[in-house]
Amino acid sequence: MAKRILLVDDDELILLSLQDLFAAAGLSVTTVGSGAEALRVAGAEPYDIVVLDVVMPGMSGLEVCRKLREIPAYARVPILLLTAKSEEADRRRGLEAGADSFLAKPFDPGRLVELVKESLPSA
Amino acid sequence: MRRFLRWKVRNQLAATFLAVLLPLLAAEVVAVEWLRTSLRASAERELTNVVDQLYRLCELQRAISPGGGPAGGGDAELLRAAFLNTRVGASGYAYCMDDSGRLIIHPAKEGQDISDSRDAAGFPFVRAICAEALRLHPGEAGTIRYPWRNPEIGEERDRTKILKFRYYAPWRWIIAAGSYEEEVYEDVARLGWYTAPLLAMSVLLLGTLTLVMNRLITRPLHRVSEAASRMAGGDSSAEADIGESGQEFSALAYSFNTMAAEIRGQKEELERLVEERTEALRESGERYRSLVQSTVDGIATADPKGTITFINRGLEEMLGYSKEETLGRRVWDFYPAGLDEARKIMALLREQGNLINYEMELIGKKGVVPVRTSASILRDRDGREQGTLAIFSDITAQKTLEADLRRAQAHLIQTMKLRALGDLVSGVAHEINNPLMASTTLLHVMDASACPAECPSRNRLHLLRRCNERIARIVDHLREFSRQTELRRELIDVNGPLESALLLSGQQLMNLQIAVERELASGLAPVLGDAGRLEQVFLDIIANARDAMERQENHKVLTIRTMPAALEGAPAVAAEISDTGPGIPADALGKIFEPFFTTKEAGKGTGLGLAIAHGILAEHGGDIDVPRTGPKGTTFRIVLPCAPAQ
Repeated sequence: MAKRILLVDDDELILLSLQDLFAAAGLSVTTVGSGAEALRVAGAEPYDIVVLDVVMPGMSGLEVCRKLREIPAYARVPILLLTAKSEEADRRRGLEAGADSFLAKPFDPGRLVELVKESLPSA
Repeated sequence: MRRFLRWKVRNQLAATFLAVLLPLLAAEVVAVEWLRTSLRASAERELTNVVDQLYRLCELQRAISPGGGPAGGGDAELLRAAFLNTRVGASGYAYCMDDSGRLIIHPAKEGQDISDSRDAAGFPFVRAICAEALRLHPGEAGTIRYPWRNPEIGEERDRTKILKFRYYAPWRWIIAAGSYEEEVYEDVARLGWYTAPLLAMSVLLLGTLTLVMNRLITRPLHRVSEAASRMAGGDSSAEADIGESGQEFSALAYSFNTMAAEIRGQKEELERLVEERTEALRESGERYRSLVQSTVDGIATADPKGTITFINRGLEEMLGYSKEETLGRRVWDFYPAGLDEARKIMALLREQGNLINYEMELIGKKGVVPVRTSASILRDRDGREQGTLAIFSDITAQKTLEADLRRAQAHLIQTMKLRALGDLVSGVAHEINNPLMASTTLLHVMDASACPAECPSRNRLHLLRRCNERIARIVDHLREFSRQTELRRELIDVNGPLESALLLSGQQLMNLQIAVERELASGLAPVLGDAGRLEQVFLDIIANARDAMERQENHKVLTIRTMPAALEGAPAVAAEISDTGPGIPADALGKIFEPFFTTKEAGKGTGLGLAIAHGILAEHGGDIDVPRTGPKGTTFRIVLPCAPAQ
C-alpha cells in the first residue's frame, strides 16, 4: 500500500506540481491550501508524512507544525518544512515547532523526493 | 576826488598843505605888489610935489617982482636957496635949467650947459627932457628914468634915476627934482625886507605843521599796518604799539589789538582742533590699517586700468604671493579665465554698482584658490572712477565640505535607493519563486518520466529547463542583493576569501587562458567580517575581470594584490584586482555600482554583482572603487578597515 503524504501550501501551482512529483514517486498524495484545513484533514485520517509551507496566510507552517505535534497520532510523523529562508534562526524556530527537516525554496525537485523518501519510516 | 582818496595820507596832507599855501602866497604876493605900487606912486607923488612946490615958488617970485627974471634981487636968492635946500631921499636934489639945457640953479654945476649929457647907456636924456617939457600941458609933470653912474663919487654900477619935471613957461625954466629910484623906493624896498621873512616863516610854519600832522596821523597808522603785516606773516603775537596818540588812534589800536587777541585765540583753538583731528585721523588710520591687515580675508585695490595698487596680508597668505610679486601686475593675471573674467566682473560692477558673494577662482602660488568675492568701484568726491576694491574669502574649506556633503548625500541616497530596491526585489523574488518552483518541479517530473529519445518534445523540455535555470539564477541574485540579514563577524585574513575565490574561478580562468599573478602580502592585520560574503565579492569582481578579457587574443593577465592601507585615517587592508581588458567606458564608470546596470550582453549578467559587492563592503565599513581604468586595463580596489586591536 502506498504511503500517504499530506501537502500543505497556499499556492495552488506548488500544490499541483508537487502532487504530480510525489504521485510520480509512487506516493498517495493529499493536498490542502491552508493551515486550518490541514489540521482538519490530518485529524480525520492518518498520514505517513506531512510537507508544510512555512509562509502561509492565516496560520503559518510553524503553527500548523506545533498543532500537529499536539495530536498524539502525529507525535512521531515526519514533518518537512519548505521555506524561502534557510537562515539559522528559521531553522531553530522550525526545530522548536517540532519539524524534522527543512528545504529552502527554490529547491531541486529530485532532492525533495529523496528527502521525503529518507524520512518515511521503512515499511 | 576818488583818486585823491586813494593817495597815501602823507601825500594827501602834502597836497592839502600846498592847496592852502599856494593861494596864500599868491594873495601875499599880490598884496605886497599892490602895496609896492601904491608906495611907489606915493613916492613919485612926493617927487612931483617937490617939483610942484618949486613951481609955485617960482610963480610966487614972479608975482613979487613982475617982469623980473629969475636972476634979480634978494628974493631970487631965496628961490635959489629953496632949490638948493630941497633934498629928495638920501642923495636926491632939485634943480632948474632953461629949455636949451643950461643949468640955472644946480647944487654943483650951475651955469653949465648939459644939453649934451648922456646917461650910462649913452642916451641924450637932457635933450629928451627939454623936448618933453615943451610938450607938457600947463600943470602937468613929466617923468623920465635913466640909468646913471656917477664915477666922480666912485660909483661902480648903473643905478636908475627918476626925474620929475615941469616947465615954467614965463621963465622958460624946466624945474626938475630927481633921485636914484632905489632911494625914492626905499620904503618899498623895506617892505620887501619885512614881507619876505614873513612869507618864509609862514611857509616854514605850514610845512612844519604838515609834517607834525603827518607824523601824528600816519605814524600810528603805520604801526597798526605794520602789526597787521606781521600778523599776516604768521606772527600771532603781533600788537600795535602806537604809544601816546590821539583818542581815535588809541581806539583803533585797541580795536586792532582786541581783534589780534581774538584771532590769536581762534588760531590757537584751530591749531588745537587740527592737532586733535590729526590724532583722531592717525588713530583711525592705524585702526583701519590693522583691521585691513589682520583680517583673514584678502583685500586688494586696483586702478581703473586693472593694475593692482594694494593687497593686504590676508591676500598675500591666501595666494602665497608677496606684495612685491603682485603690486603693479594686472588683476587678470590672477584669474584662471584671464581678461574675460575681469571684463565680466567690471560689467557686473557697472551694472549693479557692487558685487556680492560672487564665486570665482584666483591663481595662487600653489594652485587655484576658490574664493567668494565682494567688490565695489572706488570713486572720488566727484564720482569719477578711481579703481576697484575687492574682498576675497577663501572658500576652499567650504568647497571641500560641500563636496563631502554631496558625497555623503549621494551615498545616503544610494543606500536608501538600494534599500527600497531591496524591498522591491525581495518581494518580486518571493513572488517569482513559487511559480518557478512549480515549473521546475513539473519539468523534473516530465523528464523523469520515460520520454523516448526520439520524442520531439525532449529538446523543448531541455530548453525549458534552461529557461528555468536562468530565472532561478536571477532570483537567486535578487535574493542575495536584497538580503537584509545580519553579517557574520569574525576575525579573518583578507587573503583567505580571496584565495578561495581564485580557487573557485581557477578552472574558468584557465579555460580562457588568463594568467593569474598573485602579490598577496603576508602578515596582514585581520579584518572583522563575513568570509563568505567577501568571497562572493571577490568572485564577482574576478568574474567581471574574466569577462572583460574574454574576447582578447593575448596578454590576458589577472593580477591580485593585497597590501596594508588606510581608510579615513584608520589602518586598513586593501585588495586590488586588475585586468588587462579594454577598460570601462567613461560614461559607464559612474553607474557601475548601480543595480541592474550592466555592459554585458543579455543573459550574461544581471547587473547586480557590483551593486551587491558595494552593499557588502558598505556593511563591512569598507569601500570599493576603480582607481584605474583605460585601454590597458581596469583595477578594482577594495578597502576594509582593520579590526580594532583587542
